[in-house]
Amino acid sequence: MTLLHPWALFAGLAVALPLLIHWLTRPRPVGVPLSTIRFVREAVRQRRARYRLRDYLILLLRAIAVLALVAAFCRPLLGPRPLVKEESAADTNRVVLVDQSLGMAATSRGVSSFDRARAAAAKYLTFAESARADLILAAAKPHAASERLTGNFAALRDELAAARPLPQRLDVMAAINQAAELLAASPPDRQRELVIISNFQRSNWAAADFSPLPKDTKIQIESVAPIDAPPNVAILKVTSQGRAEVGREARLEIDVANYSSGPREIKIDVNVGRAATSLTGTCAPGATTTLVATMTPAETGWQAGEARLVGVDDALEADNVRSFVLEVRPRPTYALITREPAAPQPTSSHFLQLALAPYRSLRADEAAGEHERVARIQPADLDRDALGGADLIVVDHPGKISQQAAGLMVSLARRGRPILYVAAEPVDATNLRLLSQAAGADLKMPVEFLPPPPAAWRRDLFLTEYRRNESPFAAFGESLPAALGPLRFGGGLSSRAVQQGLADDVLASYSDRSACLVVSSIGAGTLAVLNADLNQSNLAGSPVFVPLVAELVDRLMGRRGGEASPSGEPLAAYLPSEAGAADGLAITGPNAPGRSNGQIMDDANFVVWRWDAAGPPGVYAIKRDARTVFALATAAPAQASNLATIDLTLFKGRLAGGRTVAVQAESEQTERRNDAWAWILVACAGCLLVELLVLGTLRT
Amino acid sequence: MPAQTTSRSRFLDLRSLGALAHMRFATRHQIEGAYSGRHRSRQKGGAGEFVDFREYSAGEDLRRLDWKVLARTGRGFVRLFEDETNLSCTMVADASGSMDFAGRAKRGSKLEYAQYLLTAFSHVISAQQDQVGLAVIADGLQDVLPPGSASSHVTRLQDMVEKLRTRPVSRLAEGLRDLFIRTSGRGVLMVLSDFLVDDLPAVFASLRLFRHRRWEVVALHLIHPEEERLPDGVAYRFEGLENDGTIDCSPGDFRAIYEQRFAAHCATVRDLALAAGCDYRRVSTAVPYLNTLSGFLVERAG
Repeated sequence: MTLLHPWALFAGLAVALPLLIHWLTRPRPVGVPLSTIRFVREAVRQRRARYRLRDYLILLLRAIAVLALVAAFCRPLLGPRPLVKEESAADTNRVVLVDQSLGMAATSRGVSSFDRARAAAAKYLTFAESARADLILAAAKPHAASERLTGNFAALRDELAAARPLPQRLDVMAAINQAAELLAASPPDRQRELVIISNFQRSNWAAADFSPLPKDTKIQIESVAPIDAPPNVAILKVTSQGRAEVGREARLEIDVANYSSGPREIKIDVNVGRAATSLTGTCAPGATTTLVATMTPAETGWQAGEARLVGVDDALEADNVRSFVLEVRPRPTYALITREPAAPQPTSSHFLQLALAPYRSLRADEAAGEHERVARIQPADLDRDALGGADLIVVDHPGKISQQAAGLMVSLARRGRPILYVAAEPVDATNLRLLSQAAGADLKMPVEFLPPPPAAWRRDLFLTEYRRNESPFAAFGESLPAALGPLRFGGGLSSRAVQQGLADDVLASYSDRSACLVVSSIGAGTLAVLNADLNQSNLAGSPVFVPLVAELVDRLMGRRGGEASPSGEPLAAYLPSEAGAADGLAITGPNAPGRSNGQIMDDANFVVWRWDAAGPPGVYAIKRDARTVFALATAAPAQASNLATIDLTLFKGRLAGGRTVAVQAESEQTERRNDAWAWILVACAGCLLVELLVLGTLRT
Repeated sequence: MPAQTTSRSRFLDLRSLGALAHMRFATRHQIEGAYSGRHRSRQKGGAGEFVDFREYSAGEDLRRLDWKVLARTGRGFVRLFEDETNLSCTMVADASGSMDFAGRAKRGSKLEYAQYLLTAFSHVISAQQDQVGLAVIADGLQDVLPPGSASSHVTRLQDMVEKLRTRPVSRLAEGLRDLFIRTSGRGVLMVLSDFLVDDLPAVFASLRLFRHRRWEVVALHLIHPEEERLPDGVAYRFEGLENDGTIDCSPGDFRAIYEQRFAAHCATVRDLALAAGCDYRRVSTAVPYLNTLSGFLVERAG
């Protein structure tokens, strides 16, 4: 317990006040001779015990009342004594670390946690002769007000006053490391103190470790979090399901979390370009609900969107809005590289062509622009122009491809162009090796495809292992075993597992343990290998063929996306190939003028947008001559919306790292502790009431 | 013929006492006196008033035998006559410190009241040719004036009364016991006291000695009205009159208890007096002493 006004203790002398008043106001007795004094004495003796008790009680109660009054003026602060005094002491080096992350913007009783933190931090930044201090505003990247400890407390307080919570998470270890550097640079003969003021969100502080700090550092932890986590509803994520294509219904998945104790009715307004829709739903307490919005884009290009929670009264407003981007593209064009004839025949490439563009096949009379288009390309005709407009490169029975062709495909794949390779013939093993060699370190296939041994007949193979929860199999749900059971495969290549290969990239395996379907990354693109000869398999005649190919194409073309990048975090985005070279590209966004929006640079075969700390939430567009070639949304990290706090006692134990740590709850907890003076006043009034009761009970 | 008092006592108001000239101090019991008087004597002789017959017993004085009755009935009877004798009254004055109590007005103390009453009694008793004496008891038996009826005796007695002074110690019981030792015969013992003593039973034990000797004992209990009820006010310092010290207190805190205790004291005095065969009379100093005296005499006269 500490006293806010210890000078008021001098008023404790007032405990003599009742005695003084009694002495001053005591009646002056009138001398009267009395013959019957013996009876007076007896009567007094009889009454004395009772009245003595009464007098002592009244004296005690009055003394307690006076002491309580004095104690109330002293403003006692209950709880453990802080390790670090608020006032700066001489010969101390102090670092005040203030959490500036998004959670600090949460309000309780109309006051944000950051405002409480600012007030608490200001107390620790008071000038003292020969004292040195620094202020670290910590979010995704900690920012020190001064490069080294300084005696300019006014500048530190100015920096503190200008600070605002940022829509970022807290990188706690970066902040602690910076504090450790500042304190370690100070002379060892001075007292080192670290004051941490935060709401101690569990998502931010669970990884805290004070061991980088100098051993003799006194750590004072002050929590400004409300006692109970305030209710909060947040939009965690907005993603587009599948590739948004013009004229085709697009689905937007919006994840809403309810960090409240009760269920919440939610309403979300969604705007994308010129389209708008509204969603309603119920979100269970402590759960995340996904709402789906559907809309049909009318035009192609990058479109900015925003999802906004309507009519929500919660602690954190910043997470009630979330920006996103939607790239609306025209119907895809597939480049089918094959040496098989184009005429309709029961060949592997023909089956593939039908599966890739089934509507076009069925409705040949309709407008060509409304459906997928498959361009058959002879391997000899491969060049950049032929493949440049394709959204997906499909390779089937290509024969031996040249090294240049392999290099071309790999370069396209690196920039995001997916490749589906149907490995049916022994020569495909050579082609795949060429692709692997061209990709170099960018391609790590889990298996190595080899020509089958001459004596080995690859036929009547069936699927024994497949990842039922991943695309393309997940779409079949419970009917997957029944759908895949009748399938029999033939042809294809043998495979051998590669050491240090990612086994998860093998999505399906045959009964001879060779790989059936492998999906690996090449730079920003993907290479899928379907190890089967469709001419020798019954897959093409199976009802699962078309949907299986569609799901696989969806996966390869990256149709699930649009997720926002977290604000404050490093950003590196590969621009699509149609963006062209870095020269001539300009970035626009909600960032304040003069603030950096990152850099666009050429990197080998890519154009990369690098940003050491993504800007505030919003949509950033990269334009060439007023045409948007790429867009990206930034948003507050989803985990910042969960305002649950960490148990502060952990800082004294597991997270202390052997340092001396004192924990002090601030904010409403402190207000409650500071309310002690009010309770003392109540006790004072109670004493006076009891005194009246005693006087009434033991009245004369 | 009443004795002519030549006293110049300030307590003797002959003009007021003249109104009581026709009243007599009567005894309730047969008494034994030295001279012939108007009071019934315990002696049954032949010179007094006939009261009864009693059968003759052998050895009795034949002079008292009623010969006429013997002649008529053949049986011997003795005629009984009651003598009349004078009254011998010894007044006991309590001169303890408590008798000095005069209330907050500090006028009209119990002692002063007793002085008036003693003087008046001496005048009345001597006026009817009876003997009156005085004993003063404070921290013991101070003065004793044996009963007498001569005017000079009465004057001396009244002078003694006038000169009464209190002493801070009260030993009433011892004084009465000493008085008992120094007196003989039978008479009337009139005690004027406030009976504020430490040992009341001892006082009445002493009085019982007189009663055993067939004395008629009259206890006049003097009470000052301000003794019955404590004064109003917040703070008083009560000072004892018999080396009792002082007490600072607020009477309001215990007034009821005090009154209960004083009433109990008065009742105890009365009960002990009656139990000892004494005639008890409560005398308030608020009542003029002449009223008290006349009331007493009227009541005694029956």
